[in-house]
Amino acid sequence: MSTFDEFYDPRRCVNRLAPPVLRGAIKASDAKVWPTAPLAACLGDLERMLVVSASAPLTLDRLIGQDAPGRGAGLVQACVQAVQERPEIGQHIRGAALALKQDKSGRMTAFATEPAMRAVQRGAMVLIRPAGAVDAMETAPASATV
Amino acid sequence: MAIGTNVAPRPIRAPQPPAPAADIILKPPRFGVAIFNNPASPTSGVACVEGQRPKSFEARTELPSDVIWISDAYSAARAQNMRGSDYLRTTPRQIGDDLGVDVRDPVDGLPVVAECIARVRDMAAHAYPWVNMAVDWSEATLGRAIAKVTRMSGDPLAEAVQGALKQAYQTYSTVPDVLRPDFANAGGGRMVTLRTNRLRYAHYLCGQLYPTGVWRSLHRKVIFESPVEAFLDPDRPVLVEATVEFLDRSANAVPSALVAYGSNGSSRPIIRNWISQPELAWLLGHANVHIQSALVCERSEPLPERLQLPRILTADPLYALSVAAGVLAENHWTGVASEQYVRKAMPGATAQPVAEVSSNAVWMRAYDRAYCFQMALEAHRRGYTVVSYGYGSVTVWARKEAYVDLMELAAQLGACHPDLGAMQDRDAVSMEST
Repeated sequence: MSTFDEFYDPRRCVNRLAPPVLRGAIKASDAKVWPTAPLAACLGDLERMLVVSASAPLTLDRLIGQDAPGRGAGLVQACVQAVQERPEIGQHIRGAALALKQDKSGRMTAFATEPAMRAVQRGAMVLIRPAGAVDAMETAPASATV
Repeated sequence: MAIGTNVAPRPIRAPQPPAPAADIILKPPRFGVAIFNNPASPTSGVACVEGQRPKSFEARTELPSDVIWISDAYSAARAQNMRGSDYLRTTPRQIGDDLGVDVRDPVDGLPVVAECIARVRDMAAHAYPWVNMAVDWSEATLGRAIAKVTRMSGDPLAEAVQGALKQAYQTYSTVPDVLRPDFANAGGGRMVTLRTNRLRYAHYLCGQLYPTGVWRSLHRKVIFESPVEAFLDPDRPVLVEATVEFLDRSANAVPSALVAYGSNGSSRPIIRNWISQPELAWLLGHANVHIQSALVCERSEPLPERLQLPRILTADPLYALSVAAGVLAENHWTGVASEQYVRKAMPGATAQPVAEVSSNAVWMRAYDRAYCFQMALEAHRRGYTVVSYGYGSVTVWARKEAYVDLMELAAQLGACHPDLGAMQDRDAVSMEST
């Protein structure tokens, strides 16, 4: 690349790369990943439970592998425990309660991969296809994979 | 039987097909946690697998062989199915701290960590197109195993570009010559690592733009004529060869040590002559950067689908609150951002493994360093002595009892690990008992 104009076009450089803004950059990324989930907007507030509450991290970790209503109930339980332990955190997670209420209708209730995940937990036979990693896990004899 | 006796003829059996071979059962190995009495000499300790009671052992050979044991031993102590504390990148002790338990507590701590690690295993088994998990997971770290199955073949980069990328690749930042604060010298301090949410951070890193296409060198005349903005166009990724000087000695200047340019705390120091664009964007604000040469990439694009976080981790935003999901997400991005070893012919007709880095790896590390530097800067401005930063975290010196201050700092930094509330409770209990 030898000419100045070829490399530098002032009109194109409007979008100048800037250093990331603490918290703001990650929040903006959340909005891209979960554009329709009301809970995504208050993850930053809910996270405070992980720092200040002694019981919340474990309760929240156990949400993995549960169905959607179970996850919702687990979140409520974690919030209640956290507020009992540290009342001052109530102001941060109040917004989450509203988001959870809104989220109930749109929540993915049919998380298709959960039966397969339970099968793995039981040590069942599994077949994993390279494409569509999430939905591809099926219980099947390995001899059928060839 | 006597000769001539009439015997009813035996019915002739119809030929039957041979019995089918038993199906081979493909199932992922279980993950367990082994805590040694002395991690430097790993022989005896306590071990636990999810759903079972912890058991003590006198020798590693007493432990079941069908389990991958993630231990607190140093990496040199790996043997067969035993893995070092860095297998999941986050050590069992850190996982315990994040969950609010002490992993060395065999009753209330170890089973909880084993349960969490089992969840990491379940999700990892689910999320990637493994061929044979028993073999694929034999890598030294889970991140490397993930990198192996997600690796994309591409055209090899020219030696000059590869050399520049290697010199722009910095995995971690350690502040050199950091002075311990007075309270630490008096025995009243400790180092605390405050960490962002691993899953959200992995989403952030995987959502950035990465160089794609052919690299070309920029003519020297163009470099000297271009304003600095020209090198900060995100649509045109640039690697620059530059010298960095910290000349500002005013009271408000950021200490040059905090930038930790080329200081990664490892025994293998790196010579940093090259700077990637995301690093250049914040470095220009704190140092004089004299650009000597530059490489420009054709365009920038988001990461390909194969390198994005698996969809199981994005299914529900609530998973961002799970430590297990976060550990897997961190292994994913560190896998993408790791070096790859390829065998190359060397002079003398021998082939040796040589570490190579992709432009994705360099840019991802640079995005990480850019974000973590902001965390370090904020901690420094709030009066904390910063020790190191990287991987979405910052390590600072703090007073032993200053939990409330640390919680406040964590809120300012957007950090959510470790569980300081549980640490405070444990300290209070141990104080009462003494």
